[in-house]
Amino acid sequence: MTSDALDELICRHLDAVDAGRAIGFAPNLRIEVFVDLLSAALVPHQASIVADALMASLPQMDQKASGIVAPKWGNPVLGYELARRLGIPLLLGREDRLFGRWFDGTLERNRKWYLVDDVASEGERLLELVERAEEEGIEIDSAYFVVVRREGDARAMLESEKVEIRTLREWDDEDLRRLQAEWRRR
Amino acid sequence: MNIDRVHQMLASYLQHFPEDRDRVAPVEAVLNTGGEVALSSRLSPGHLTAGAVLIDRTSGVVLQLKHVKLGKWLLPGGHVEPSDKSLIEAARRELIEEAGSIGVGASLIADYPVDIDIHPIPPRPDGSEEEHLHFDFRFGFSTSTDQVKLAPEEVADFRWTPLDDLGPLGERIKVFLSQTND
Repeated sequence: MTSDALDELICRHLDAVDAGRAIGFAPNLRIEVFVDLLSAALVPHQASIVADALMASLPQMDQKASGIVAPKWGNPVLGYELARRLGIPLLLGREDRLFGRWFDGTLERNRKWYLVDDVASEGERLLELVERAEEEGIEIDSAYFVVVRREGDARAMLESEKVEIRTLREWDDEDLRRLQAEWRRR
Repeated sequence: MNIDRVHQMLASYLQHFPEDRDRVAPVEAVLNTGGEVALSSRLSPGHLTAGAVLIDRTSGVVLQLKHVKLGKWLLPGGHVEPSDKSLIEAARRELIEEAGSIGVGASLIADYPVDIDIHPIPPRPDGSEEEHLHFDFRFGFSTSTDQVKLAPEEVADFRWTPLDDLGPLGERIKVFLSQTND
């Protein structure tokens, strides 16, 4: 997937948000818009497009030793899509324990787990997920995002836990508005 | 089952639990773009499933079953079948199939889901099914009996777990139970 195609997907989604057609959240809430920007990637065929872009940044995966962790409150479809393509297991992190479990999926402690989500913003809940994983003996030392939001603390928080961040885009709200305006002119 | 009924159930869930909107956004997205596929085949990334949270209200415990194929403790439930007229009917059918007649007399505690959960299902060792997601609409049922009769081909064992082990979902169910007691 080209860089332009990814940006176009984001702009299309943002236009849908502006028109009140996007799934799951109200228009005209700027911060919400940014945080939920890539809700587009929840739609399976779009998740597949975004997965292509993320795949290119992922390291070579060892199917016997790697796995993907995705937050349930984030974009589990994207995590699923990547895990499926790579033929590696998927763990979904919960916000609350259910029957004593923080994670759903086959928990294998001898794997190297990669955190995957669409947008990293405030980072608080992602940090909690990493900490819970550590308590369960799951090692997460890298996280892969489509967008890291500069206004948020996600990068600082995760790096403080020695989690290396890879992202396709690192933007603030102004970057996004500029991109959207350029895209509309085209 | 008509996909519109699933949309209605999701809308009803969000009306009662708007705080879960982010968490169920993938379900909403799949229903909006490929819901018929999720209902009619197993090719979609997310399969539509219906589950039962069965509470023994006399002792405040919840039924869990040990699934034969997955070897895991799960809530009763399974795929929605074409013959199911509603998600509630699918949940009760699965409960009866897996745990016996305890499901026949169980009372529905709300006519909308008490939880909608997305969880991964690992690939089958024989390669017949790859890893996929379950979009599980969970309905609350209550009973005053603990007579479980397992379907041995599907379920290896059962246990009753304290409602408190369900975390916030357990708290949610306690509210339902207190309302129906009034």
